[in-house]
Amino acid sequence: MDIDLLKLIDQGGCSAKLSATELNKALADLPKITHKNLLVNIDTHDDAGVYKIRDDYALVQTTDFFPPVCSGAYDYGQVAAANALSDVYAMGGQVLTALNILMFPPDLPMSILKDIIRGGQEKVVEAGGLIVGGHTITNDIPVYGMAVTGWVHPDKIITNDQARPGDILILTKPLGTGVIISAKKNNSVDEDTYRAAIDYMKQLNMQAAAIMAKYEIRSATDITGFGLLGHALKMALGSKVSIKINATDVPSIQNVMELIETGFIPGAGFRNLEFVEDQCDFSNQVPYNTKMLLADAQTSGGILMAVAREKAASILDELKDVGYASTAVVGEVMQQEKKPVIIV
Amino acid sequence: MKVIDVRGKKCPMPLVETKKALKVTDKNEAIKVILDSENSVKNVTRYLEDNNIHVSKQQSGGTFELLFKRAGSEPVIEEAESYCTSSEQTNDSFIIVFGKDRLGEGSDDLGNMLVGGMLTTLVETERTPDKIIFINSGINLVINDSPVLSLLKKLEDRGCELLSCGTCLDYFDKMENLEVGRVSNMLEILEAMTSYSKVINI
Repeated sequence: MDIDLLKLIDQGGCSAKLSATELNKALADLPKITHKNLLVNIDTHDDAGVYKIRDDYALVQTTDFFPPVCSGAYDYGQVAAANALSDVYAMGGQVLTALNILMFPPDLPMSILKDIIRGGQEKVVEAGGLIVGGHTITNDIPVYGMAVTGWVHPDKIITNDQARPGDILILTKPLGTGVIISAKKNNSVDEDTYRAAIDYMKQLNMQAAAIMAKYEIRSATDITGFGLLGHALKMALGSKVSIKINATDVPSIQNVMELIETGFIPGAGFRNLEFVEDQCDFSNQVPYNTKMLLADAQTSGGILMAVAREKAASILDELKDVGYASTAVVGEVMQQEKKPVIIV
Repeated sequence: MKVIDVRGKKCPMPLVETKKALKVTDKNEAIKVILDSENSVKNVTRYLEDNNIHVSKQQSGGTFELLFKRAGSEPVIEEAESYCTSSEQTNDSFIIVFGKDRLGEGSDDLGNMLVGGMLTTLVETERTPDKIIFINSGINLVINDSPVLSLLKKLEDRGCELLSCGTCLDYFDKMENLEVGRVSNMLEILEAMTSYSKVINI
């Protein structure tokens, strides 16, 4: 039975993520719990928490889940898993185990449920991990994702607060998945472009993590719901630097700029822009549509890494060699300027 | 005038339809977009304003109407007969900026009372500013113990946008207490102040 999962969601292209502004406001008063073994906590809005077990071993823990971002159940499972696993990679870790988190409408055929779980499972296997269980409840719309545990050597943790002035910024995947999903929901995107977006979303950030480990990179983050601008801002604030993004160098998936010009700008893009614009310095040269691309919420996006200038060329080559074909240098890290993020 | 009705359409289709209309409509012809999703109203308005198009907004119940033309920054004035559902019909839009929480100098108590008087008169005379902006101690008017909340809510129901300076709410530690309207930033406030020919500063 063929059911288009995207047709089950009512909220249209306005993504499921709660606004960062609202979230920060709501949680501002809660006490911050610290612990000597907690190496990375939520303070810097990093991708995952890191808890030290031994001097040479720390757990990386993260979770992510969302309503369907694509039409097919198997694709959805794969994308949701790749997205949940990504946070472990962004911290420089490797995947150990995962728990499925699933909400499922009781009136949908169980074959759909199976395809979602199968998609997720195959991704975890590809990542070298194990699914060790999960939990399923009923809900009006499907929601799927995972709680993932990985590990990392405490000395090799990659965080978003270690970018140093002079570093070069490399982005491993092109932007535009939010735009394409919202166009797909309205049957306004060609199959080729849609498949390209699905393939990018399914692609694990595992090899990128391996290359970061090899080159001893200390600072990176994965690009997800807050868009390139949102995640770059967190990196800049955490690292106490300014980040310069060369807008024309930022890669986008095929046809994305045309879709933005048509008006396929999901609500999340506007929300992201609203969240960051006070802290961004946009040059007049940056076209409106490009601004919207940079703010586009990504699902299972690429890694943004800050690398030493002299290593940038070889890292770029290696990333392209292992399959991140659109990898590009998108900017650089500078001494702290008036605004944390500068877009030229 | 070109009218597009995007009620019932999911985000971001209202924006897609709006952009389509902008492309095919003469730059001096007015465009009216009818919407029923507050989120889409926000995004479409934001898009138009970002592109220097002045938008007039009307709301009745859950239906919103945005009125604008491609040519520019001047507000579109609709002829009365084509707009009989409107609760107000001013020939000149204006905004009010409250830089403090009282009217005039001298006695603070009197000043506070006069703000109530002024807003009551605005409500009674059916003059609705497009926006009211609250800066510095002006934010005392929009937080939970403000004596003029019900008046502001009435104006908001008529389509007046209430914008509070976020930095000011933060400064007075009143972000949690905001009761009407929404948090804004200096960019939006400046844009509002510069795009209206009539800005009343209190």
